[in-house]
Amino acid sequence: MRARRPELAVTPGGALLVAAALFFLDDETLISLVAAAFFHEAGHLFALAVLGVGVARVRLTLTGAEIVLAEEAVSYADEIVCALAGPAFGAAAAFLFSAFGFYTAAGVSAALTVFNLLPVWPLDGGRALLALGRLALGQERGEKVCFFASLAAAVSLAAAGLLLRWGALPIIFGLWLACRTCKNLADDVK
Amino acid sequence: MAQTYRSYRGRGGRGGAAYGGRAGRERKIRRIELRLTFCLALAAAFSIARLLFPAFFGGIRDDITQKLGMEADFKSAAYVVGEAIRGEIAPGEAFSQACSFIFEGESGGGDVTEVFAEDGGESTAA
Repeated sequence: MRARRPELAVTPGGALLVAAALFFLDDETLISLVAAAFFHEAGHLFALAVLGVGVARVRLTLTGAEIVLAEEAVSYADEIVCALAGPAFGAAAAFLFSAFGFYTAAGVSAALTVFNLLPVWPLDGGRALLALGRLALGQERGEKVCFFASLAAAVSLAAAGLLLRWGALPIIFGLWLACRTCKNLADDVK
Repeated sequence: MAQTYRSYRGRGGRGGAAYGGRAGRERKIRRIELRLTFCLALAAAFSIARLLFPAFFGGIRDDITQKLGMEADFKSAAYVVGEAIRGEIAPGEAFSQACSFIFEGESGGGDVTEVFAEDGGESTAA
């Protein structure tokens, strides 16, 4: 059976993200960011294709690209592989860009990789941690551990941004991640 | 029961998507479409302005980032990290320079061109 082509969509938040990037970033940084994001998402899509998991939709949201799977559930091991494939491709891209002298692109790719590896749920590191927790500790305990780790990491990021005066960006990201973690828990409780 | 009963017209009148009314759903979709149109128009306007008036657009951007207090120089920080990945700068030194660029702004980490020129290379990024 021929696999269905994934639907491509842009949410209002995604369009706003594009507008903000077009406004605030200069040409080199903008191209570097697009290239880094492309390699990152290509990693996820490559892993999904290799594992035979269908992709229903690729959406551009306020937080970046979001891949919606066609299958309702994949195995925990597959989830870990798919989650970590993006950062792995991002790290490889950073070395590749650096080797060709595109230092800004290399740095942006490395930063994107490190950020996505934070153990906070909506990010790749959090997704891998959740799957690992469920696999090792069972569904309920694994989710609890992931929730507290997510919340601790997100609040730490916001607090560090505030106390060490890292600027508004880490505070906004930290608070947003903490909200997402709590919302996820609230959805589970419902 | 009479107190909790909501007539069909009443549900329609409330209109919120949470109430399950068709009018509410349509309104919600229209709101999303409106937001999407606005944001896409904004993105298109910025693209056109960047292409047609790069200097003017850059001036406005610099003014706004200055007013917002966004002095962090992420580009130079990324450049230094990129150099460290290739092994041209020690990772510790690159980390400290990147932190200076991010936390102290454009003047914080010095000039990337100067750092790179000392190693005998050429660079356009500063």
